[in-house]
Amino acid sequence: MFIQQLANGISVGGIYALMATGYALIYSLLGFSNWAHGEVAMIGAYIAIISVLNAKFPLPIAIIIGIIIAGVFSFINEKIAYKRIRDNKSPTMFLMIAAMGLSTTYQNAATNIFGAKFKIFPGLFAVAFHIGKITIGSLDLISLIVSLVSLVVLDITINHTKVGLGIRSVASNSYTASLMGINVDRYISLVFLVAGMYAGCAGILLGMKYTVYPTMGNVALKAFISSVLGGLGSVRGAIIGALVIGIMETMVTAYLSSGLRDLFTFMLLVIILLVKPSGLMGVHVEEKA
Amino acid sequence: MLKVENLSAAYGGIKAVKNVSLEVKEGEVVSVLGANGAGKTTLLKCICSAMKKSGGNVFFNGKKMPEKPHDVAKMGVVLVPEGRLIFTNLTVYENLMAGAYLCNDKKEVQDNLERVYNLFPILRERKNQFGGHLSGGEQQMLAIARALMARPKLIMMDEPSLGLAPKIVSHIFEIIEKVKSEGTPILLVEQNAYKALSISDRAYIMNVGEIVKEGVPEELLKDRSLIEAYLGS
Ligand SMILES: Nc1ncnc2c1ncn2[C@@H]1O[C@H](COP(=O)(O)OP(=O)(O)OP(=O)(O)O)[C@@H](O)[C@H]1O
Ligand SMILES: [Mg+2]
Repeated sequence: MFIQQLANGISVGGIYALMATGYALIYSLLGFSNWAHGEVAMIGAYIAIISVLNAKFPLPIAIIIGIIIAGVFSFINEKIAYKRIRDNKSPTMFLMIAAMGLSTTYQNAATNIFGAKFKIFPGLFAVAFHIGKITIGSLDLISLIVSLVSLVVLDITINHTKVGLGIRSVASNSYTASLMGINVDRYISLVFLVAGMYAGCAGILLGMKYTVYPTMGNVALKAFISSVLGGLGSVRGAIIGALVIGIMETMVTAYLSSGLRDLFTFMLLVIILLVKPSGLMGVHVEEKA
Repeated sequence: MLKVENLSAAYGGIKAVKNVSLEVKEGEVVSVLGANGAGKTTLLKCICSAMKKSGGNVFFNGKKMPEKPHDVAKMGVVLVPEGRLIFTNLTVYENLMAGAYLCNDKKEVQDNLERVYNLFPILRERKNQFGGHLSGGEQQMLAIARALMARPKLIMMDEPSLGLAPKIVSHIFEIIEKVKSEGTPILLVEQNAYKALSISDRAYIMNVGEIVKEGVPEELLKDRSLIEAYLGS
């Protein structure tokens, strides 16, 4: 029973992590909370589901289309909104306000275009696998594998490749990074594209697990909490935070009550902010004058 | 190799640099001296396109300087910024690798790393520490080392001695002389006029945005009233 719940928890946490990492990367580069990140996930889910239902694409193709379009939307958000605000050297707060505007716009657009009703991915294979004492549905297994592989690839890229060093340099100090020959704008675009694709992937997995609806992007709040829990801006922290929240949610639902799920999540957030504000993985390196 | 012609720059309506012209030739160390607020940092930022100029031109080896700072770095012009600005949450090694970002030849990067570690043995010892955990002097060494990792054709340094103990300052200037002896030209901005003049081939004196005097160190040092008036030391 416990092991079973743990497996379910990791599966849910993995999906949260797909969103939380992108959110954390964007935060680390631009220092603002991208509230439109959840809507990018929602867009990915809608594009995938209409590709299946209306355009009759095979599911795997529909998923890939959904992921790519989500990445493109994220990329465009940066180009049309955030980049201008950065170029004008406006306060960071403007970025957050713009993100909130985008978030509401996309939610309303989705309601108008697709309707407020839930959409369900058709004919999902409901095969269950038995591994030892654990029974895991095919969908959960797939989402577990997809998210863990994506997260490992992302972690290695960030920490052990030249592209990763470029991203971390820009995050650390974009002005100095530019003096070293690093094209800051290009890295920011890249991060928005990849973060959007990861969010799209998360949206599709959530849509397949539950349903697709215009406000499903609100789940980004979980990604946000994961990121704070792990240490704002830290990719590895976001992964760990997301797994902790996924596991905790499943455990609370299984052993206590599903009504207490969010209460526990927010309580954990408050405790972390009080006890270790830099987050589980937060390393605080002070600036020297 | 570096030629600045009538460069002007402003913050809003405030003119910080007015019609500045200067030159750095092959193998030279050239200092720009001046008191606080003279416009030295603004000048360097404009040269490497980190800030928009309001007038004038910058040429490097006869070519107009590109408009983006990362393209300026590609031309081989690297700035060691004021206040060091190292990547505090990256390790010393990662800071150096970021400096070598434009070099894709692994062997060359490795050789360069070895050369830089030999210039600054302390950085080798500290290579796995966070940049932010170094002392001020070590951070300055790291900032210079990081710029050297780019194998610059021209290196610009903005007040490398700022806020450091006299012993460390001397050490930093020894390093600058070593860099010079390797043949890399240096454009050095300093408030520490005597130290800077002692290693310079030529110097410019700046005051409220303008160049007020240019000359070789021996000549400038003769004119005590000049130094007292503009450099206050
Ligand atoms: N970001 C800014 N916004 C507005 N004014 C500025 C800004 N930065 C510098 N200035 C002004 O421009 C002028 C030149 O500044 P600059 O930093 O270039 O001087 P500096 O010679 O480098 O001084 P220091 O020796 O103190 O570093 C000063 O009057 C300063 O107040
Ligand atoms: Mg200055």
